[in-house]
Amino acid sequence: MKATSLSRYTPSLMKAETLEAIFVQRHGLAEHIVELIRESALTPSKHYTLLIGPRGIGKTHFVSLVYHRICLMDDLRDRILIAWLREEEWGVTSFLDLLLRIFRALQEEYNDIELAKKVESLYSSPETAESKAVVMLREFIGERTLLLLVENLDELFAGLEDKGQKKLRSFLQESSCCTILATAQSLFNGVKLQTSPFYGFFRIRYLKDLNAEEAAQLLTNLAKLNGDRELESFIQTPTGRDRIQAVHHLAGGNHRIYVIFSDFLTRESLDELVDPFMRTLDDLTPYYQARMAWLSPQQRKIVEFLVDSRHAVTVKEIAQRCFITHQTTSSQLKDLREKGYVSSEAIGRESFYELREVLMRFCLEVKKQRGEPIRLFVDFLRIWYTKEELQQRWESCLASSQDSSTLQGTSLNSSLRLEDSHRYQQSSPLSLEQEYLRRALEATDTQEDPRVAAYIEQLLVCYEKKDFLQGLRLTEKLVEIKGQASDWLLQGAYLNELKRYEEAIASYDRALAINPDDHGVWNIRGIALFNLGQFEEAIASYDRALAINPDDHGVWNIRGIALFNLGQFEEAIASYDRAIELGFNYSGVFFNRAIVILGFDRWDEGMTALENAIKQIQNKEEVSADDTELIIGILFKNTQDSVVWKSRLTPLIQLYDKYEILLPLGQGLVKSISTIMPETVSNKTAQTWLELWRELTSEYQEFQLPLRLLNTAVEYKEKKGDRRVLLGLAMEERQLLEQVIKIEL
Amino acid sequence: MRANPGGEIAPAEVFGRDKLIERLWRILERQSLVLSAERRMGKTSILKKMRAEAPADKLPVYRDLEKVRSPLEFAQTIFDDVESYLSRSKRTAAKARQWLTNLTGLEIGGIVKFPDAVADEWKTLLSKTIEDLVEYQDRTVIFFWDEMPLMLDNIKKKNGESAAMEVLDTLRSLRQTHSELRMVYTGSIGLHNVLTSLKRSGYANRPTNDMKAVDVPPLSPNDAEELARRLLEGENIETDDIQTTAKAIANAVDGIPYFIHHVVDHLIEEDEAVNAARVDAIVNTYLIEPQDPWDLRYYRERIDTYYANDEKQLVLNLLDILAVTDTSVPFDDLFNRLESRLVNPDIEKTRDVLTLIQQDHYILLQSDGYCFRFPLIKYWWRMHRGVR
Repeated sequence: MKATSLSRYTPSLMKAETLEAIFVQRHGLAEHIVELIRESALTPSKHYTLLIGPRGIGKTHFVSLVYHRICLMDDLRDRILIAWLREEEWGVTSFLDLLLRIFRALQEEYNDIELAKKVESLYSSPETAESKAVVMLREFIGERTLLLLVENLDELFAGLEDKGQKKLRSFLQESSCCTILATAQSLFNGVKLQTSPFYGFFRIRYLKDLNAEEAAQLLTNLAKLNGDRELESFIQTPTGRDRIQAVHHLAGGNHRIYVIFSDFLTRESLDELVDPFMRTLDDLTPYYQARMAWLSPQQRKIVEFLVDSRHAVTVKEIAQRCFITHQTTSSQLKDLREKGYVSSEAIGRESFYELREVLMRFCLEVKKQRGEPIRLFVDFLRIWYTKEELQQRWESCLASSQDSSTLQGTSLNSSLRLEDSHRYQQSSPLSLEQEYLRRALEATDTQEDPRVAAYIEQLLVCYEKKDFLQGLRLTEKLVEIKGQASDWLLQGAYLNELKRYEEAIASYDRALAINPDDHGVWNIRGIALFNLGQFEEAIASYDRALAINPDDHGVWNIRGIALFNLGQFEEAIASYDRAIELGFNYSGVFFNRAIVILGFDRWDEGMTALENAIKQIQNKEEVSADDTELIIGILFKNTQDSVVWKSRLTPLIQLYDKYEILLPLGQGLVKSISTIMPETVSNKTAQTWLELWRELTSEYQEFQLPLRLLNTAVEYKEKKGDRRVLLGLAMEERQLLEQVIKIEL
Repeated sequence: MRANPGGEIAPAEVFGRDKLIERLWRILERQSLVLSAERRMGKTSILKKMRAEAPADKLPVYRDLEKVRSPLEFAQTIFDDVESYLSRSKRTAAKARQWLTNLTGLEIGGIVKFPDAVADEWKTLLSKTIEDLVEYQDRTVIFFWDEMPLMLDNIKKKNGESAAMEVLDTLRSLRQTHSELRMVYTGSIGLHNVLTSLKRSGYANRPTNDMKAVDVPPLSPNDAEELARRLLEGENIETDDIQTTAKAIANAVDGIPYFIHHVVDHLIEEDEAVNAARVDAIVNTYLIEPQDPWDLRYYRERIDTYYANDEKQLVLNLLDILAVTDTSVPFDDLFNRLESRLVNPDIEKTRDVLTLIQQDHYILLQSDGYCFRFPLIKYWWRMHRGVR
């Protein structure tokens, strides 16, 4: 299938094999409906199904596929008759008209001469035509079942009106010989209201839009069908996936558009894109204009406003700008949404509406853009290529134009150039291709998408509520709309909160691709790497941040922590010293420094540093039990000599007592209990440790609980994990100890 | 069994109605019938099952009358059915044919279409047709007239109340004249709604007082559960526990067969195994969905259609009161509560309105008082009226 035939994509004329080959997503539904039709043909049960979906979603494709599958079933050949009415049955204004359309469909299918003669005879006696037609149809059907395939049932019902609908329903109820597969754009009153004859008559099935994966599958199937291996493999590449996203965005769920743009996917140069693109717009414009014609004048006004808006707008704005009341606008938008013209998104308390199919805007703008087709193509480029790609193409284009002898490149050979080239040759030294790229890169909407402010407002709410998952979804929307570095950064931050560090890093990388000189992003990227335990990579990220902003003391501090974790203690101290030199007076960096020195077993120097750290604290909550855990752990591990322990613990306890921060020291003792539990530590050593702490701290209230827990842990260790030992503790204390020494229940 | 919401259910698969059908056949031995029920309760399925499984001495003739818009068309419909019946024994509705020939001067042959010129003579045509039937029938012909109230409503709108009244009176007269004749009226709007609107135009007759009125109830809890179970099995729907899920479906939709089919049909598209909680969630979605796929707002809107102005406020307030009570409310208590909402409600009017809304299947009168008939509708009413 080539581009010209694809834009005239008519499923009802396609071969069964083609329909099957490009069918995606709905296999289960198709099988089910075929089964229901079979049951209707083979048993007294009769099923009536109504498929609902906006134009372009693939209803005709589906119906065509079902038709072919039924035709292939040999056991149904004598049991079923098929009347496949035309997609648009103009001029049905009565039940008799409908019967005549059914006869016509049967004639087209079966070419029965007798039937044709009988139908002809109806015209000679109009008063009895309807009752005769009913009798004829029943006779023709006989013992078989009639499968009615009816598209746009809502329009057919509108033509039949109440009178014709009741006659149809009567016929169906009395004859019990039909099964129906129908389609409609939306759930219309004719089947929905309890006062309607056909209320509750149909089983309803909504056809869903394809998601990006399914779109990719459709395009892959198309490629296979056309034997296009290049396209098939291209779809699997990252660029191919980006391109599919672009098609997905352009198509807005319209199958026809996917089919048309499948031909564009592998085109490399802009030259190969421009003309086909403009031709496609020309081909599709009558289709979209016809869709506009089906709307009421008021709805057309709304759609035209959305065409001009270029991004989503609120109901209030639409009502204002169209001079329609809010209530009426709301109601019309609901109808337009059901018919597939618009899509909506609720953000907080507001609902935003935009055109469902981006291509519709292009096509409706074509006529308005006389003399300015460039703007449309530039818009298309912004969708077709990612920002990075545009940038790369631009740079590559510049490089090649600098190599050539003339700055006015003639690489682009398009009809547009003939119209506009003189303008460019006079005013710009850039080639037309370069001009397109430049405009695409520079293009910003003069008006910010109002959803952006709404998303940001909701993001704050999510952050306060700690609903990071919802926050992440909102950042994804921002990335989709704007895709700026700040949006990627936000996305990374939420991923970080969700502990999805690898994805967070990928987001930060996207931000840095746009703005590589953002030291904050390098910093936060380093933190994510740190959280993954990738300390060397984290340090590399910190170093990039510091290369941009060498005075960021916070980065020096966390760089030091990463170095500490790598065991590079001297380098860690140097990093902390640098942070302190730069005026970082946060107590944490002093504590970090002190801990490293203590780790070197330079105890006196370490205690001085520790006191210095304590002096920096602004409030007692800054003293971290994690730090005291580390200090106590270092003390325990550096020596097994209880005399040394005592000589070190005594000033340590005195220091913390002096500054009235014994509580975190006690908490640190609890957290450090796990260090005495391994089998490599003897029971005697553990006992000595306990007795020492008891000797030095039993008079302090802050150590009552820690000593109890330490005592129990030592006993538990001595009794080789006898759980009865733990029962001596109150339940919450027991749970705390179990957590610390990681006992599994 | 496959889920088939709204479709034609094979007579053999109409479930849980055998006892009711037996009772209906017994009634038809001695008199005609008015079948009433809420929409989607399965009245048509019952009629078609009776048609398919009729005893040998009975011949049910089923007709959907909603397309009929005039008394003449109605007479035409009966004529066609009688002719069809009689033609099996090579007979025709000879009397009616002869009379038509005499009236119009035309030679009648083949398919007969009553000309509009004889519209005023429809009663005679109908009587002659029935005479032909009674003379030659070898089995008891039972006319199953589905959507009879809709036909009367059509006639009322097109030809006026008196034409609709005459149809009812003529049919009653025919039943009186031909005691072996049997008719079953049923329809998606209540016959009582049509009769009430005719009464307001001065119609004082009681055209169905010789017919037995039978209400088609929802399925019994056991039958509803069994139907749901069979459908779940028939559709191969994966459940955590099929019996519990079936019970949940039956309870959630008050045993109404159409909704049981509907819910099971919905479950076909579920990706994961379903359970009672999922069923409740789905039904709840239908109740709160702004698009109102089950058109439940009809229960509010029809009050404006079928009730007089002086009745509407009574109806709304009575239903609001009953929507928020968990137990049945005796009349005195109900009226007390009504007095706290309305200024000087009329007690007799209140009694009359309660009768009407019972007939409309909103409420039930039980031994201990009034309550909503269907918890589903009650829940919807409470939610959408915002009453607590």
